[in-house]
Amino acid sequence: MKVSRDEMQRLTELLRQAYWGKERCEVGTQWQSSVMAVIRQMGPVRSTPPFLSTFEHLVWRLAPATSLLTLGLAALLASMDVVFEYDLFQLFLNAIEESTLAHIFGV
Amino acid sequence: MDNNTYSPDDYQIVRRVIAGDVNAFEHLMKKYQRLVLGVVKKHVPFDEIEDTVQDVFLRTYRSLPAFKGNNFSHWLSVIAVRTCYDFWREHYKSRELAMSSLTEQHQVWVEAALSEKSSQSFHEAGMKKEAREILDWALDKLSAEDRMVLELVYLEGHSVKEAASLLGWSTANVKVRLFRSRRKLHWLFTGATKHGRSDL
Repeated sequence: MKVSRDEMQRLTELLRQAYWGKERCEVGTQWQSSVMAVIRQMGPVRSTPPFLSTFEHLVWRLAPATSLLTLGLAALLASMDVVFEYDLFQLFLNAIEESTLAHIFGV
Repeated sequence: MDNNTYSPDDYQIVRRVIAGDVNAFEHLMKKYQRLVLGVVKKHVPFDEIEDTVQDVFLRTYRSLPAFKGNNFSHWLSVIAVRTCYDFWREHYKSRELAMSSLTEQHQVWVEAALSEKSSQSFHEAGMKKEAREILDWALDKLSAEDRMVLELVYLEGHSVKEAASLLGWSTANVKVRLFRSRRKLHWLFTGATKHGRSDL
């Protein structure tokens, strides 16, 4: 069944009335006291914001520069001979392993 | 949203609280609890209102150092709206996936509301329990984001810019969400009628 624009408007108006017609709600003095008790338990509020939050406003400003830097580094790594250095590193690790085992077993 | 503009008293009270006079916060709470209640009661279920209002004031207290001194009531409204949004995000995360469908009675109500025959007496009946239940059912089918946007703009009558400011989102984001949620609402009510889709 297709609902026309007018029909939808009529329905929306009724729903809007229902939305605004929510029952009244009040909070008592007991509620206030309990909230104040929680606040007193929390103690005085910190007047200086945490160290990291002072940089929050910089996050989005630095995002484009960070992205460009990441892309640049990725391109640089791709153009370098990384495999050769990896092999060298692996060789170095193996050498340490062998010498350590040799010492332990007194070979 | 409110008629309160800059109030030097509020700023002085905030300074006192930050200086260590915790009890001074009670003045702010008494002064603005009606405003916060007004915001919260529209967005969260009745039995969650007290807890959510409490959350709003606790968040406000913790954020006092960030208050810049220009319009406390608007600043508080922003915290209240975002607390309601967080309430729905949490609620949606923990809810069961199976959602209720409209009863026969609700479907009849929707059809009557859509029909041109609905008279003045029916408009008076808009305040009836069914209307609220149907509204809650429809809102429950939306995401927390779409729900907040729909409530603020479509039901409360805020402008897109105001809603964006209250939620801390871009106006483009609010516009997209509004379009999406209105389309979903339309789709829901098309399916909710007796002759519509039966999968609702």
